[in-house]
Amino acid sequence: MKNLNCFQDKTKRSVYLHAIFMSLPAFIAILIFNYIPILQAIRYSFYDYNIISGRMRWVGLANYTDALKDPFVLNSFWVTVKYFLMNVPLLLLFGLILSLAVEKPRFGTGFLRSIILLPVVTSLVVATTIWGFMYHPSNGLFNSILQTLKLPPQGFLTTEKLALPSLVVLGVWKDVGLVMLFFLSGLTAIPYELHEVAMLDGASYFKRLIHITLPMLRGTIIFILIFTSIGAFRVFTPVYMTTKGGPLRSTQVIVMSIYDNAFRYNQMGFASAISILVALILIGLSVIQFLSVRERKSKN
Amino acid sequence: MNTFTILLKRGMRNIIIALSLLFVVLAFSIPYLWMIGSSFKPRAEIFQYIFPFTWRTFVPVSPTFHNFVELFTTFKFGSSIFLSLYIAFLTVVFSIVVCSMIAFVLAKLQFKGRTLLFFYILATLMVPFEARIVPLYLVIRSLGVDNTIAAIYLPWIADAFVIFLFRQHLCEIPKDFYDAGLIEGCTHFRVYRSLMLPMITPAIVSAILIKFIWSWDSFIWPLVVIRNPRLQVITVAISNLFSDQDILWNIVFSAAFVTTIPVLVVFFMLQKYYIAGVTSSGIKG
Repeated sequence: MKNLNCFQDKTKRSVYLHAIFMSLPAFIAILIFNYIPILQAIRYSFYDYNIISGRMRWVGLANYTDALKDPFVLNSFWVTVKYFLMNVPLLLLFGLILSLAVEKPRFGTGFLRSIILLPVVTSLVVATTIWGFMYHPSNGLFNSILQTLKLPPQGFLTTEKLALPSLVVLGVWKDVGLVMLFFLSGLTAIPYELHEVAMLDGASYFKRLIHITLPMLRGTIIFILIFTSIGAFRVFTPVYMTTKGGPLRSTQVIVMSIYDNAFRYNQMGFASAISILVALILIGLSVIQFLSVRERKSKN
Repeated sequence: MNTFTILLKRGMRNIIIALSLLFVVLAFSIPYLWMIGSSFKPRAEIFQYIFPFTWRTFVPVSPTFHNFVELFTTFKFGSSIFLSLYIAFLTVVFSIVVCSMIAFVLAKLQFKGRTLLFFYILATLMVPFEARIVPLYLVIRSLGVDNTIAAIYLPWIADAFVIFLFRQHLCEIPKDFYDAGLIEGCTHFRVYRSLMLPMITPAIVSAILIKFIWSWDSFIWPLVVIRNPRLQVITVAISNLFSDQDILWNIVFSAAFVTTIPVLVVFFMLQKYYIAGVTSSGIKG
């Protein structure tokens, strides 16, 4: 590129040369690490592919029909949906409450904001480690608190009923700061005059919240809804580190099933088929997200 | 009486607000306080003061550095830290260079196919990594780089989030600057390198911070792609310590401490860049 002199550089040819060479590294990286894997996943999903023995046999749609009949796979879809149904509303609710609490600069809100953001930048592995210890049946912090309050100890991660909700709590703790940030950026877009006018009419805080803030946040809420929904379908690390899907498959989320099939049972074809099913769900969600972001942007 | 009840009501309200704020602060800080306190406790002391729940549960009675010494000598945690730092460094440098170049092309150059290039990148946001783990692993294997450091960072260099962050900031620079640079006789590359990049420094700081934290925290991919125990990044090392048959709580706590605290300190200092980066495109990870 150096031997191009300045005169040529203003020509069309130079624009094209620069466009090509400057976008090439990213273009190739995206091709290799995004597009080719997706195409490969589609291909492998039609094969019975064992990575250890190297066996690769065309099976048509059998992986898909098996996946949709396999009680374990169906169970893991159901577990993921349950996680999603608990996780998303909690994140929305607490994210909103926290953002309203730290919205106006008052004494201590800066500190509060930072402390709520700490889990967002803490690695999920560390968060899971600490929470795993806090949930520990015999030496955990929660059972210590329960005992101090004279309540019976609980097996937070060891009983079928509590394991998934316990992981949901961990997930909410980890991500609520991010949701709060999104709400905060949505809140700053609401013109203060609206509140002033309503206050002149004597509207209380809750009235204003319901009739001004929430309707004005509609775009933000849709965005957060999709964002957290996609996140719920991606949960893996806490499950892998603590319960490995147990007890009795009550926390066997879908990514855990993909991992098990691919890297424990070496069923790459079957795992690819499940991946494609998950990808289809998430693409659907992303399309909605994309449309809602565009709607939000065009409104502003 | 009226003023009294109003005052009482207001007082009650303030107490409720104060209590709930206190609860929030505790809910977010207790895990950290417990981690920090326990990483300075001798092993037996952690269990000794779990019950009953008092200040001794958090504050070491006989503080010690022994856990850290053991962590770095017996468990060789230093090499994991070095590896994770090295990988984060490479990820940040490569992705800033690669992403800012294509962002410049998208934001400033006029050519046929620009929209197509834009959607080529945008589409990658649709299929998250978790749905690509299996085929990505197979691609890395067929490239013959599995079990190497390159396998860990290569897939994360071209990042649509960073590209769009840069593109957005570059689009906000008036076209006059670009024209002026060309009239002065600069090549497009020089306009990008010497004129545009310095003007989007805040976005670059945001991207460095987000990318660094992201790489430092990443777990699933290194777990899957690295089978060589000598190439253990910190997250995998902690996870292995954590899932050991008899967990050494004190060691795990001190490992968590060493991993977390430096990141949190940097985050505290550069918080505003992080927040600006995350909220401006509203996409992360």
